[in-house]
Amino acid sequence: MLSIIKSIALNGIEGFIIDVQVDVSGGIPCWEIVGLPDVSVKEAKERVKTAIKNSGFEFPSRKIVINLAPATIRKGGSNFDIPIAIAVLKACGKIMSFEYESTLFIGELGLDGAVNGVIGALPMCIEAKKRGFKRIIIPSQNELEAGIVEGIDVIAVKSLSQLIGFLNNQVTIFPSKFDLEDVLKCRNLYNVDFSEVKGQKNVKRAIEVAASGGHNCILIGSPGSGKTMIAKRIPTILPSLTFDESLEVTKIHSIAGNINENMPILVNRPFIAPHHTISQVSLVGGGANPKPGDISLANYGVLFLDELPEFDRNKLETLRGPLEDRKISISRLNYTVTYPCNFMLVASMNPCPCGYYGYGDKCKCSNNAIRRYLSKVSGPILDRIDIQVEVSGVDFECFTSDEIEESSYKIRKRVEKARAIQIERYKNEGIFSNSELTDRLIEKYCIIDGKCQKILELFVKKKGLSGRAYKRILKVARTIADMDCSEEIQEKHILEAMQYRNLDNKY
Amino acid sequence: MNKKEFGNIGEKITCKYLLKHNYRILERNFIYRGGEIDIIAYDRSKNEIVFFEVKTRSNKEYGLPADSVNKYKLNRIIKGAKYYLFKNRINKANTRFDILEVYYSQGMFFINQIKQII
Ligand SMILES: Nc1ncnc2c1ncn2[C@@H]1O[C@H](COP(=O)(O)OP(=O)(O)OP(=O)(O)O)[C@@H](O)[C@H]1O
Ligand SMILES: [Mg+2]
Ligand SMILES: [Zn+2]
Repeated sequence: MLSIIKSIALNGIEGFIIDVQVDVSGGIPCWEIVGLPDVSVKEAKERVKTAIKNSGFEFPSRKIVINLAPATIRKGGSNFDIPIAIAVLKACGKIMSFEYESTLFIGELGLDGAVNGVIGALPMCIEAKKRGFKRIIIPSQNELEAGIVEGIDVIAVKSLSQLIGFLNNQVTIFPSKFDLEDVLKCRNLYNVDFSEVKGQKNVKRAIEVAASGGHNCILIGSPGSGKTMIAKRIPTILPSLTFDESLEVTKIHSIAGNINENMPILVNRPFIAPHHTISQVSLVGGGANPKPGDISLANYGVLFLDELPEFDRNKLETLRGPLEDRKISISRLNYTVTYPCNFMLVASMNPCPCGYYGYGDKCKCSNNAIRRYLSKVSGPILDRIDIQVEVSGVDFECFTSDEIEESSYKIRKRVEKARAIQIERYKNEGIFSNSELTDRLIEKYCIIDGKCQKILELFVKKKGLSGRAYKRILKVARTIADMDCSEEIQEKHILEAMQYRNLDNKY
Repeated sequence: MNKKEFGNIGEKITCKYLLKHNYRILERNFIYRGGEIDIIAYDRSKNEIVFFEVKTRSNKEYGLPADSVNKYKLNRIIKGAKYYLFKNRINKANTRFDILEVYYSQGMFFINQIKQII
């Protein structure tokens, strides 16, 4: 007897519907899985067999062939346990007819017949809904993250016997209901705020520009000047995530296995700060079973590389592609997975190895040492950073002054306004912010008059900047003009944008 | 009771046991190249041809009888089963592989049937 149960496999964050076909026939009993399964899927055999027996059902002494179709997609993970078990029981006539065509099954089985959680339940549910499935059976551990998806019945099950009861109409399980209001309350609740940063008017302005246009930025300054402190507060002034963006962010964290009861859905922009000792695989993603790396976890948020020159040069090199493409493809022998990594890069560094270059005569570093230090970052990353900000420590008076600093909320409102202008302008271009402007689009949208052109050319020539730096200044000027609600880029905008090439100036 | 006697009594008792449980004995000591299948029987209630490996032990202390069926032995039994099906032109029949443990303790025989060893 042949039976077919529908399930789903993930490739990157994309879901593919898989037909779990089970054929049960006579002959010498055996158990075979075909259709490009990986080791973890092959292990399903023992789990399913034992779980069926321990759920009070007889496991048939038959020749069982399982095909996961289409065979061209690689299948990993243990989420086929449930569909395989159900398909076997169905083929043996142990469960009644049900709307199998419109139902997706995912879940891992324990030996005792309990259903265990899977990784990536959210993207699977989203895909199931997109494909018009009526309901999806998921492990109860994944109920919170999967329940977010509306327009599909999410049935959370605890054990195989409970599921069989449900399919046989003996047990009622109500579709999971999820209180969106409840989580959305946490939106924009951060435990840090920009009002805690005293003084630093110029730096804050630069950061606001960066946030308004989604520009990558680097903070340069001596130890203790507040670089880390400021960087940590950048997500608090970025525009609020829309619900769809929240889902996109959560999808990746779901695949990385980061979702727990406390945060079924990420409502705030992620702030990911890898240490410089991080391995390449955890940074950009990869591994035998490809997992998203930190750059993907920072999707729609901030990737903060503190003490940039401490990172290996080759690790930084690998960021080049993702910074341009905003996605990363990981190739394996016979398949490729792609994860998005649309993040805002924020880096920090000291101006020299000891950190005190330019602050009196405290610095004892030789010119050579400084050059070597800077050359570590200059090539690969610096070229892709729009805004370079110098952070000098604040005076003691500043700390003790009673002046009330602007809150993140207020800054965010302005940032959101500037972003709204950009979204409207680029609605037909498929981009959302000035930082994403390509050369062609820069020519179209960053038009400056002859006078500005002259100023800029002079600046670029004097500093010996590359054509790339020139384009970056134009992009930043576009953002500053947007913050000013000015459709044309004026001289003052260009002048301010030129200030954010600090590093080129000095070193 | 010597070993031979013990073995014979054991087999008799297992056959009785199988008949009582709605089996029809098809073959005893079926010989094939590489070994012997102790009992082949038809399970009426399940519609399955069952190949039995009978394990007799007089003393439980050497471990349970079933433990002595290893992977190698299993493969041989499967080979024998295939030969049996081929020889009797049985196609696509449902089959099963069981172990019958027979042990003797305090003047009594005990039978333990382990179903579906593969
Ligand atoms: N503008 C400021 N307002 C309030 N506190 C500040 C400010 N600048 C620095 N601080 C205080 O100084 C501490 C050190 O700052 P932070 O760790 O951000 O420095 P840093 O520039 O990252 O130094 P390092 O180069 O050593 O990493 C902060 O925890 C904060 O308490
Ligand atoms: Mg720091
Ligand atoms: Zn120094």
